[in-house]
Amino acid sequence: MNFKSIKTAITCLSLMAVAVVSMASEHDEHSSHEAKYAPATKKHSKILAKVDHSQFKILKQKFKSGDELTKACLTCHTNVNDDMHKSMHWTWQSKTNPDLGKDSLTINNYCISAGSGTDKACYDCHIGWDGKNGEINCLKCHSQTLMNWQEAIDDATAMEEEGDEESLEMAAEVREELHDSVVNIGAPNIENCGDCHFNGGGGDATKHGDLDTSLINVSKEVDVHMSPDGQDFTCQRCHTTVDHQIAGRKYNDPASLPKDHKSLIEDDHASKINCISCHSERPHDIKRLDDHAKTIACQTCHIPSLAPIYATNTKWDWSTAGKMKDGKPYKEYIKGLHHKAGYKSIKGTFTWKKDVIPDYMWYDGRFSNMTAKDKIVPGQPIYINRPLGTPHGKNSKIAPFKHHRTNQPYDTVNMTLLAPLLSTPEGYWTKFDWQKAFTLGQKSIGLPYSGKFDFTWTDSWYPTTHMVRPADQALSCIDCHAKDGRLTNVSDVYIPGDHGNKYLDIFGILLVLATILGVALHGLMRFIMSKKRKG
Amino acid sequence: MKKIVTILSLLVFVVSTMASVFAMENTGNYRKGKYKYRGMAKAAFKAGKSESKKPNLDPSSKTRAQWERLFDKKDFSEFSCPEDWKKLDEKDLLNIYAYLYKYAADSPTPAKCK
Amino acid sequence: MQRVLMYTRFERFWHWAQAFAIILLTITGFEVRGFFSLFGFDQAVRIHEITGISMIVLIVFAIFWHFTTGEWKQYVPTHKKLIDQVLYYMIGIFKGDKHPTHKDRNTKLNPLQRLVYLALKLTLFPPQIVLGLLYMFYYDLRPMLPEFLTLEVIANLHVLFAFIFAHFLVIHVYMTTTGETITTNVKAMITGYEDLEEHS
Repeated sequence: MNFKSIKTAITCLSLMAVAVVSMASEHDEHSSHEAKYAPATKKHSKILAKVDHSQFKILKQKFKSGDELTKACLTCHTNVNDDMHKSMHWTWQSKTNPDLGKDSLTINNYCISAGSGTDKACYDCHIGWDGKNGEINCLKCHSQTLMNWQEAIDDATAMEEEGDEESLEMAAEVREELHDSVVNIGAPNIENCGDCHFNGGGGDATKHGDLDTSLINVSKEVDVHMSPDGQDFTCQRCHTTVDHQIAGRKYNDPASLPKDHKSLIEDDHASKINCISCHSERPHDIKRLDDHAKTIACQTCHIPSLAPIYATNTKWDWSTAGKMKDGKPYKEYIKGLHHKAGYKSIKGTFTWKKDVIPDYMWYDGRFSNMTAKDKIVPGQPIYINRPLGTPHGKNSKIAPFKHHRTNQPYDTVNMTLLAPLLSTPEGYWTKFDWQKAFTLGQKSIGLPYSGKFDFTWTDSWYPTTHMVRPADQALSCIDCHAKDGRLTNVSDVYIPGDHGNKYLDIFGILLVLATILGVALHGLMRFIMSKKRKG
Repeated sequence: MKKIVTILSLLVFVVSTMASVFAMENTGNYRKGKYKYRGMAKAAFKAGKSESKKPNLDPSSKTRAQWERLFDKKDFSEFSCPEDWKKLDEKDLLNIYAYLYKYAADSPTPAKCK
Repeated sequence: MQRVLMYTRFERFWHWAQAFAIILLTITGFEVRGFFSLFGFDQAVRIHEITGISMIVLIVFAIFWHFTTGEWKQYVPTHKKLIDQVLYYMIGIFKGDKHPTHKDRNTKLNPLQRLVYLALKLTLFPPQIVLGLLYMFYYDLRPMLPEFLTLEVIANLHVLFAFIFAHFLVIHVYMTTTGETITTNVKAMITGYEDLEEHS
């Protein structure tokens, strides 16, 4: 017996075991010395709600207009006007590029253009009482009882003028309802923000796929942050607001600049717009996952699908708009979907999808945006907007996006996309006359229309960041690490299991097969020859 | 000749005045109608007869012709509280009809982005 | 005939542990590459990494053993009878010729084996281990790596070497059958003992 070799073998085995154990235990390496979340801070809205606005005499007036009402607010909230007029909620214009913005030349592939305030339906979402004319409507974001304030003020005033007993009685009721709404105010809640942001693109869940009314009282399974059973956040919890300037993506500006990419652990005054603000850059217990987070945005794995509750619009064909039934416009709703039409005379044909798998692209927080004056090139794809990023660039990560395709009108002579006027009595939705709609729409944004138009397909992408699911619903390895996995179309990244070099793999497999064949032949020859020798 | 012109113009004046008075009586006050209509829904909700404070039908749920037919037949079974409708007087009905007609699906009121 | 302890217990342990590791690494490695699904991607990665690290530990011990026992001298290449050995496998083996070289406790490897194993130890194992470590700790090492050495380049090279290992493995397994009888060599590697002809 070789005693020495036994000893060596035992030592070797035990060392291998040590290696295996140390590899396996690597997983809880940093949880011990780094907090996983930044500590929670107190909720803002409860502090503000202590002021009882119903005590204020100035709010008990019989307001004859929205402007009058706002002036009453401004008697106490004195500096708000200046802040508000600087904010994008008022300007509808990019600070860095004046051509960009809903009130500028920006177009999308939903309702296309807001027509610089001419398209009244789009301007419903502007925070002014009458677009940018006159005062801001404070109630839109701050009243905790949503109602149609403009209608209430107009009707009450009209009925008071009529003066008969019944009218006065009704007017008093309307005034009471209005007053209740005016004094029940606080920091914006999800319904204030959602009133516009959940209805982008013309209806609930239409535009974003990660923003819709399902977020109100959402289950934890759909959104861990917003759910009352989860973190019960308000929107401002992440969209940090200072002097009415709200953090978030603004056209081609990143949601936050790289210098802001810090966690609350480093700086408790940091903007909370990024995941890392609260979760830090190493949020996982497993090093491999933290490594992934250097290339892949958190959203990619933690928002596995878009539109989990209500279907979102994925395709829109304006070219079929204008069909009539018995000479009248009509709508065809799709059964089983939450109030979604497959066809509307005023808008054309729609495709809606639930549980949409996003598109994945390199993204550094910026977008390229097309405007109504940009030329289109025949035969080339038209990207209304597109995420920007450099593969493995310092601030770039692979992130998920909602893709939307639309067949929309363009000027065949000027080769620009067209901005039709849709609402208002002269718009397409009333007159069903494209020529008129283009003439008026293009005029409203100060651009020419040649008189000749056709339809062309365009693409747009919207960032995905809301509806973060519980950790156990995140993507698993094989969602990407498999042939034609989720990231198969992402360029300049190696995905083991999907992106192997095809030629190398074929060469290697052939090499091994040839070797097997070679030794088999050699063996066969030996067998035959030995048989011969014996025989 | 002069006489004929005077009589004719007088006749035109009388007819048009009568017509406008007649028309006004038929139109009703849409604003009163709106709040009466909404008030009925609220009352039904308070009495526990319906699940929503809001009316179950919008003006844009029907076309003008459909509203006209409904009010001609006085068939209110589609509303959440039909028995309350029977108690309404002609004036209230006319006001409500004026409201629904004004904002019906095929009315010229500008369509919203919905 | 004489019964000789050809392979010590450590050598046998080393050989079979390494054989097991290489086969496991090959299977899990090709699963990670996306050729087939057996353990599942995440398990395949885990097994591959643990086996890889374990094998490095084993190799460190084997190197130590080779130097302390002087067994490394077995791998010093020689051109003596090298051609004869090659010709034997190409022609002689079919005619039932005797092995051109003699095997004993101090000359376990024939000239061709010496050359192949030395090449294996110098040009196949070290780069494959380095590539594996680069792959594994890529995100920690990236700031220090030259720009051309992307994860894709590392992964593809690692796979290229893996194919060469697989190629070797096939030949190696086949060559075990070329002993006195088909199973002589395998038996020797299991029991450690081999019956050798008296040296004349």
